[in-house]
Amino acid sequence: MNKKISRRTFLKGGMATIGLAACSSLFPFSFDKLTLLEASEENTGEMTFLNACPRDCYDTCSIISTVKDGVLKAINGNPANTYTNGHVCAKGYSYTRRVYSPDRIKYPMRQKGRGSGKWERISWDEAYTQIAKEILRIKHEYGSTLPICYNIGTGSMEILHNAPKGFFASIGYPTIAAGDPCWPAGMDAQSFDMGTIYCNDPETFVNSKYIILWGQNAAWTSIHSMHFIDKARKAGAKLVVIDPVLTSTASRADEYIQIKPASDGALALGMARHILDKKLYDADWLEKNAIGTEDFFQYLTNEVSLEWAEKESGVPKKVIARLAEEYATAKPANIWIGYGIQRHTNGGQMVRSIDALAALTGNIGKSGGGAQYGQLQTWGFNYNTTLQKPPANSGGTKPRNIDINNFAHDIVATQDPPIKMIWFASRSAVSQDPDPEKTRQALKKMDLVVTCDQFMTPTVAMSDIVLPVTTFFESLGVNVSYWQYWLSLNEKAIKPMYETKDDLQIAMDLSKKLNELEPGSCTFPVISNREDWLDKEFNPDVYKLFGISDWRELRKGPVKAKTGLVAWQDGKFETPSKKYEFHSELAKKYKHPAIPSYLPCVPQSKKYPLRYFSSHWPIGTNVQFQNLDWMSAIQKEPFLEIHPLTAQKYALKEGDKVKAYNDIGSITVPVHITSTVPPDMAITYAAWYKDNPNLANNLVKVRNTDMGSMKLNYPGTAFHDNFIEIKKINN
Amino acid sequence: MEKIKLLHYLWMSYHSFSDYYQQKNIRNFNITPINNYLNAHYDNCYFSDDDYFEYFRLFVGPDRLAAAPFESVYKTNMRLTMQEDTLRVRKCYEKAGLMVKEKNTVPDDHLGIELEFACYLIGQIGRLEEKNENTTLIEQEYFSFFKEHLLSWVPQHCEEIINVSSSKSCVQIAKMLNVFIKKEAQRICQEEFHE
Repeated sequence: MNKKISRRTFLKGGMATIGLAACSSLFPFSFDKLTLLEASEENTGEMTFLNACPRDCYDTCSIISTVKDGVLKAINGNPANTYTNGHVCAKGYSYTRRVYSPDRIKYPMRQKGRGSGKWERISWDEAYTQIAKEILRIKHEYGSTLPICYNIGTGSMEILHNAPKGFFASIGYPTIAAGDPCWPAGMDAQSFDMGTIYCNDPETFVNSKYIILWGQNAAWTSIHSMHFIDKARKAGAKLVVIDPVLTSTASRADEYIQIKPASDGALALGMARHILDKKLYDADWLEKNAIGTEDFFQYLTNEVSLEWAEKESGVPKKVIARLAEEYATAKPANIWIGYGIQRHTNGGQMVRSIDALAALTGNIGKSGGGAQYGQLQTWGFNYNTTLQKPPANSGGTKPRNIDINNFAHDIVATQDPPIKMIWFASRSAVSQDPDPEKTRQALKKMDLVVTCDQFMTPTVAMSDIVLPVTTFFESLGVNVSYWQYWLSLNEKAIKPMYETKDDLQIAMDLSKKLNELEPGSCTFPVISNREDWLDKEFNPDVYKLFGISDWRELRKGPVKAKTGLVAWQDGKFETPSKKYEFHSELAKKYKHPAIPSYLPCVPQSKKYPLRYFSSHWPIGTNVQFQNLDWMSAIQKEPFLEIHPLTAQKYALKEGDKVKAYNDIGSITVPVHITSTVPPDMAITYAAWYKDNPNLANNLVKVRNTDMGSMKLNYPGTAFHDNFIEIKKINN
Repeated sequence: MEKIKLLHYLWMSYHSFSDYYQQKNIRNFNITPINNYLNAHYDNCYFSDDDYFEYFRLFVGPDRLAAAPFESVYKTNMRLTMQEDTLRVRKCYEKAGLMVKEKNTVPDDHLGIELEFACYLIGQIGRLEEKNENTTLIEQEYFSFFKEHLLSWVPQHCEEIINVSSSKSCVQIAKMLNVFIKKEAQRICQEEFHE
């Protein structure tokens, strides 16, 4: 409902007094932040907008935002997206607290001395000028832009947020922090087996007769999936959770199997051996769809037994046998492989072993079956923002990669030319990297560090310039998920707060500034209509997949992919042989065994007796959300979960403070005593608590997973292969 | 004439404090003028480097604001702007025929804007007084805005600065603002009593 205020009435009053001010008055008009009220073009009534949560999360909720008089009032899940199903998670509901936090970074600011805490506000023009001048200085001194490195994460997965990557391609050849901290090992594993990662539409969980959530805590990290899993259970499906920790999901399962960490490969191989022995494999499916089956059977026969699997995994052989039989005979049976499993030095092999179960039993390609990990089917955009060409006179011949998982080391060690400038966006390296202190020290050696962020993270604290960025309510974009199959429009629901800008705008502005200072130094196009940018992201394949002919149709609501909802249903694997490859020559090429084999994890440390996990929990996503007052009211500091026997051993009571330490660093935190954690483990939840120096990654070593370099340039980080000792702190 | 002098003193004070909170010329900020208007006995001093950085730490960012200059932050424990409290202030501006220039990009209840509004209302009173017109209605608007808004949180805000800030200048300005608001509260009380 429009509420138009009569312009005449108010101006009459205003004009009269302005008239007086024309004569001299002791009280001249001087408006700075205030102005005369106008009948606004803007709607002052209530309006709704479509948005999509761009976090690195399975669920990527489609959202309906309610805005009144230009203020975001409420957020709700869009029922039109049958996966979102009308609700978001606790983090989603807290979004107004991010948008309107008084602590949001509002203006470009410059720090006098990295880490000093002495910040001054500067104008965007000053910021752009300083950055552009530094880029040009580096370019002239080194003859290329290779000394400039960007480190961009998945803080926002909205498609146009890839713009900074394009920006750095448009000034020359940059250094890129390549790789991914999150899922490379499992991605390679599934790629060796099937060609790429590809999961069934999670809404088809309802068709499963048997579901194994393997190292997957969906009740916390993919809450919308639970609805479909629960529906399957109501129809009689059994839910089994395999996890070293009795997670929230495990507590709801029909059967919970507590497994020794990093021994999931042994369990899977043990099950496979039993399936082989009992001839419960799908011979027809294997004949038609797989190669290397005989090699794998040979391996199982020679190297694997139930006794061995019990010894390695801690799961009784009777249970392994029963699990195998139940899984193999339920048609269809589904396994969801969590990302935690592959954050071990043997993670990739473990995923291959679990995939093998799905292939053996003919569950791949079936609705309700499969080995789910993720999908990139819905991500077929042009990535137009990234498709920029370096200027004609650029030094060098190609961009240079360094390892995002060994960032602190690489930015200092890289030479010819050395790295001098870092650009961070959608990430907080100084908190999310293994060994954050090392990253902090490495940044001290740079000439210029620029971070784009919404809040003062530990990375912002180590920057020279921070550029304030928008939340997703404040700019137009489009979103898909790596799990569900929906495409959502993200409308600009409200004006950007303060002087915030989004990554694409920053790229365009910086391009303009560079070309002002040195014409031709930047090819990034300056296109003011954001819709033009979206037009350039879509292609016939994406439109066909979603059954639309123009992205503007998304204004009516999110749309779901029309085809490809059951992974590998057509049997057209994307491996070299076009079949499911138990035997993978490609794996051999990357120095892995050709077949899924048992690879033991790093041995338990003798010096540090507790295995340390930094798991994900429901009210934070890496560096986001936990800093908000609402979330910190629920939990205001990090804590360490230990088993009652561990507590007894160290004479600890609930809430006692401990110093948890290893060769990398330490944290000093209270303990929470719970039997959900095994006696030889200690768990913290990965979150950034504002101003708290006890970062979860203080205890995490730079250590590679086995796989990852095929699809993502570098292996992942073995986050879950760290060991600690604890010591009681007396107050 | 006395009234005009008083109004002028109020107008200049509001103007100076508003400029301060609107980050005008902070690098070379000099508190002497405010000192003079208040006829106060504080030391005159220019902002040093430390004072300058402290100003941003208190009121601007990028870190959690040490003394967030938003009414809504003091009115609820939610640490959130653009909610009911901000919109109540917006209604006051609208009633007077005004709005925030960058509406919905800066919270209406930022202290710099509230002070600018108070300055505007005083200016309205002053302009009417100069023409010997009746000021009662607009004065009531001003009194009501002062009591319901400025007085309800600014003293707390000043106390917070005094408690958390290491900067002599920033603390001094906070003290002066505190004194100013409290003296004005007394004056308004007396005015209303006499009516």
